[in-house]
Amino acid sequence: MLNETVEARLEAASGLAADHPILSLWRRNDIINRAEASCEIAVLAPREPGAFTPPTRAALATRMARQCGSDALADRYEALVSGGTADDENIAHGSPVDWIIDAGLRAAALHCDLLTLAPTSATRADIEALREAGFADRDIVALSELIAFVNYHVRCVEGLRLIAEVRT
Amino acid sequence: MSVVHDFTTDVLTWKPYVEPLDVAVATESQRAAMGITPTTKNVSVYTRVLAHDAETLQSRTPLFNAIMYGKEGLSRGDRELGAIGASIYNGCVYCTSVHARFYQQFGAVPEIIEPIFAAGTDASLPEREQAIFDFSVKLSHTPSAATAADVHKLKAVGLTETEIVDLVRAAALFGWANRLMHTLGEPERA
Repeated sequence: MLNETVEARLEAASGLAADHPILSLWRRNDIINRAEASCEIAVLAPREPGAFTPPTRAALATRMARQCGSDALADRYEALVSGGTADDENIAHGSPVDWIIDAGLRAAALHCDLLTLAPTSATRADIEALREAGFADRDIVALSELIAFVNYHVRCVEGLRLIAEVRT
Repeated sequence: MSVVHDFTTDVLTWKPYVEPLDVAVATESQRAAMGITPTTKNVSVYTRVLAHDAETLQSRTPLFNAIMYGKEGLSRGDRELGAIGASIYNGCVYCTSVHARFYQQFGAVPEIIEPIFAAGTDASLPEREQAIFDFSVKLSHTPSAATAADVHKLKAVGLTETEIVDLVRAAALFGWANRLMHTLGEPERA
């Protein structure tokens, strides 16, 4: 399970106090609150993790959040990497992909880097590379959702931070 | 069929790079995630692809609907413009085609859509649309390039804080959607 809620992570990462008035606007729709929290669990700590363990998922999320410039969010994800492997540590630390020993994880990290930094240039060949690395379609889709969710969440954090900054 | 590389409002089909889930062999949770009921006739190829990760799809659908179609807050058209800003920046031709058509249904005139298709992220638009489009594009950069000045511009053209909150979510949501639609398949014209 995750050690804190998606809301707590957002709050901490955006640098806002828990009672900041902008948060009541941000959280005014309970359907969104609940669905966002469930999505975060589904990508970071799903019931059936498949090829990607929760520590690996947290490591990939850490790597991507840092690439997105959100060190605070990355730190929260990194706290979930405990119990991971040396590869997980390298993934989380943003090490060059060549340092990752497992070929599958190397391909997964490379895909995270591509979709986070340059999604426009993704092609069929990038999905083929994941398949050649041994991933089934369900793992490819799960990895894509993890990448996509983290890229959503960092932009929520950043947008919220800006709105709060302009208010003060 | 030919792959489409240019932005368009034409109705396109989407061809996945992975095998869509076969509805006939889907598990109970996969069927639930795809929203299948006794009266369901068609499930889109895209939904069948995402059903490979049923747990995420199950929650993603209500989240997507609430962010894009929720009744109060930012107008539907402005949310669509946020979606378009992200989709243009991320080069998602399919998402752009769908949401440009929705945007037209909610009042967009050719003076808004045409410059976006012609000039992309550099499009020159009426002041209000410019502020919304530019903010959405900048938030889509990695890392985000949006600044306090961009939020001030949104306020200057009349957006409330509540509406800006909704715009952040709509643009961010397409940072998610584009990373599925554009990377797991490609748009085709029949």
